[in-house]
Amino acid sequence: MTIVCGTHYNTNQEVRCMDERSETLANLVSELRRGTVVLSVLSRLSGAVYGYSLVQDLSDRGIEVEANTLYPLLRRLEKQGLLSSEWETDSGKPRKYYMRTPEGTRMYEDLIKEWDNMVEKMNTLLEGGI
Amino acid sequence: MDNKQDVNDQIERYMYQVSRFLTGKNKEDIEKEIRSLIDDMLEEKCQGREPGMEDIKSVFASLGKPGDLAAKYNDSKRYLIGPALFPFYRQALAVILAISLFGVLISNLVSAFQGTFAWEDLGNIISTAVSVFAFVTIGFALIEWRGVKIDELPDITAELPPVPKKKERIPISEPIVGLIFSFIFICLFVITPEIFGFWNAGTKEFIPFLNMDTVRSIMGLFVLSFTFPIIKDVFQLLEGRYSVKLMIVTILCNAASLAMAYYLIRNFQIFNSDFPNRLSVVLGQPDIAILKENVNTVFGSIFLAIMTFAMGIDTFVCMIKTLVYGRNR
Repeated sequence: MTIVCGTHYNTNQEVRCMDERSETLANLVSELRRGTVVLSVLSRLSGAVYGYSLVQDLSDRGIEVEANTLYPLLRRLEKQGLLSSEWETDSGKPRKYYMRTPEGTRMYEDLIKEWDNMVEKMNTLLEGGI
Repeated sequence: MDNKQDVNDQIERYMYQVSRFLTGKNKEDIEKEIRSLIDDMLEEKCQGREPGMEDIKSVFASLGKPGDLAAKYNDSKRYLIGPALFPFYRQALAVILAISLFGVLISNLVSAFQGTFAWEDLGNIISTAVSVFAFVTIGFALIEWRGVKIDELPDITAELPPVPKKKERIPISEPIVGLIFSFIFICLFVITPEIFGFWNAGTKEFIPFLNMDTVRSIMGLFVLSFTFPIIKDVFQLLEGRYSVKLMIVTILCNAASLAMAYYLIRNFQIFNSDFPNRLSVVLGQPDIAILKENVNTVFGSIFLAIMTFAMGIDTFVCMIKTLVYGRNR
């Protein structure tokens, strides 16, 4: 890989190199994000919210989560007792609303502590720069 | 209007496919939620105008294929053999496949040597490979399904045995060679039992030592008796060192082999009563033909004596090595 990138004789090769590189970067970034999704979701569910408005809400705040990832996640969190849900049919369109349970709130608070701790440690780790 | 119908039809088709892949008691609820999600996504995309085919296409594109979407909801495992078990599976498959194919190859070579080889026999190689693959895969899938954990123990340190000293180890080649020989032997015995005999160079045929009719009628019992050394070798392979456990398995397997041999020899006419006659003709020694009447008793006794001696030595050596190297294990 490095050798191919080092040879600049062929433009096609160079382009392919860049593609591979940006693909790897995209994968690494998405791996980095994956762990933060639960915390993002829990942070927005102090009140009842339905799935798609949560997708939009997070997107407005710069956190992009695909609907096909978020919806199954909401169910998983509900199964774990961190969220509760209810169907709302009054407004015409049936929508399923989710909100944090008391246990979900406790877990959320614990996760915030873990997050702060992690951020602090990572910052110390990365302080040295490149 | 047509456009709306098309879009609805597409949604129905998509949901039908999703429902095919969904499992579990929440199936209907999940479907209902996905429908409401599709509605919301379309609504956001169209901002008040009528949704068209392009809109629904882009919604489906971001939701992904029906099967993939459903899979995200299904908690159950989506694999036969998980990542924890996979390295063991690959190893086992490689070893067992290599041994079996080698065995089939040898048996084909033997039949070529005897002149009974037919090109169709090469099909054995493929069928053996396919069956070995199937059996090993099914075996591992069962282990995965039953949740047998090979490496994940609650307290790993308590289960980690000390590294055996060089002399305490059983080299991996020892049981592997044993397994290869067992396998070749079984292949030959099942496919061409007549080659266990005396090679008559004049007529270019074997004078079988065993009674072919008996052998063929109780082949299952023979094969069963050959599995005990295999069990011993497999256990040796897994254990990798001398230990009390291995000693017990060795004693039991040797005893079972011997018991099986006694049973077969005492209860069946397994030796070829024609053997002494034919041998006497070939060798020009008429005296040998006298054995004809009690061939089973004579051959049986000789065979059992040799076998008892061999098993005795094997057991004795194993016990001594266990006492010296594996007493505490």
